Amino acid sequence: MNTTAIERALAMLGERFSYHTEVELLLVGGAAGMLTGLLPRARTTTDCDVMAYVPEEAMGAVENAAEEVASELGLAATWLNSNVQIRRDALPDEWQSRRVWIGTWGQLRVFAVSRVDLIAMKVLAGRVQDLEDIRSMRPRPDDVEFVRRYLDGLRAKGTTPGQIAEAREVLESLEVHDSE
Amino acid sequence: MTVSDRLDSLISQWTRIGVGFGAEPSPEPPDLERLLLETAREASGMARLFIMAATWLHRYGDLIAKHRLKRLIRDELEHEHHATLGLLLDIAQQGTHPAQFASIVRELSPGPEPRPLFDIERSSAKLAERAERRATPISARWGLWCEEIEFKDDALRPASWVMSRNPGLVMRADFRGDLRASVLAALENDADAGRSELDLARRCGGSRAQVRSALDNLELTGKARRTRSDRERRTRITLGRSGRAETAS
Repeated sequence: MNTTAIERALAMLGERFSYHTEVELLLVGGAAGMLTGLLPRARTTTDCDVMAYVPEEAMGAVENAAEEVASELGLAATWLNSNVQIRRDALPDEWQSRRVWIGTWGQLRVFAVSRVDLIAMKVLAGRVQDLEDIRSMRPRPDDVEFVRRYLDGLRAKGTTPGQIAEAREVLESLEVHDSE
Repeated sequence: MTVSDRLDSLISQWTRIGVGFGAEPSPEPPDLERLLLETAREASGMARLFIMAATWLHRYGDLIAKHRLKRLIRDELEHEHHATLGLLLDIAQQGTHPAQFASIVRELSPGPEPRPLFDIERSSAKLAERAERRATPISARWGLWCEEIEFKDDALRPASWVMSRNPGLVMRADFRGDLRASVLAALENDADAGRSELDLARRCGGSRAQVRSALDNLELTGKARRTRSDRERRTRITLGRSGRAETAS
């Protein structure tokens, strides 16, 4: 999916979705980076990872509507999924104050994690494509400092020491820039 | 052409054949075998290109004209990129029985100095060390360290989409990449391939007898045509009407 396809799918989802109140979604990963313009245009993503729903109980209703959209647009049934919620520990504290509004479609208000939160989560994920994404976001010294504090706090959230150590290794090897 | 231009061109060609990159598809169907060579040259600069190429090859490997690919590797691919292509094909053929690209992989050799597959991990000693530690056995065997590649099947267009936009691939699918596919691909993409049976054999990577047999079959269905010229004392080969129609975009 590219940016246009994601926006089209979200727009249709907004049309199909009906709930007793407005619902907020927080996107992370590739979709978040693409929709906020942080990741390059050649970036591809297979799905939209939703890390948080407000209210949480709206998740089922949103995913049911997303399945309808999938069949109409010829997308994978799981184009919008919450699989990443298993790594809720990876979401930096106080993300709410930094989130970026993407758009409102019907009763859906869609947000993406901020640049610094995306960098932090990609340092933790640490796959080679994450390293390339981090490079394209040109981390600054204050980003590195933020991620360092983020990693310090992960142990208390249940992230394994091995994974934190790997992430520190990634962080220490980043090329740091004075400006984006 | 800059690296970025070359990557853009590759991305638009892969998009044309069904990879879900967020780019405009190339206006013409790509020369598939040369696309693989070019991908091997550039993949170290973009992990997603490598991952998506492996995913596409895993699903659509039947569409590759194997004889011609072997010939192009021998004649056109710089030795320094052999290991990258070997690793790409080796990863793509995981789980295929019989191994889809075995005959091609056998002709490729590992890199002389083990190192990370991707530039980003070559850029720092720490990342290189990390890449070595996380390298899969298959990547270590090719001397190009990379971690487990997860095929991104959801990021590929379905076969119906790929075939409808690239009708020439339908014939390749029917031939499952055998010598007939190489003959047609050479006639389509390689200058002077049809000048004689000998030239065609050279271009598509088969022996003259094999090519003659493939042509016998292709002529039956009008996909290729042989014309004997007494003055030139050789047989010219052209795409036949149905061969042309099916390779056109």
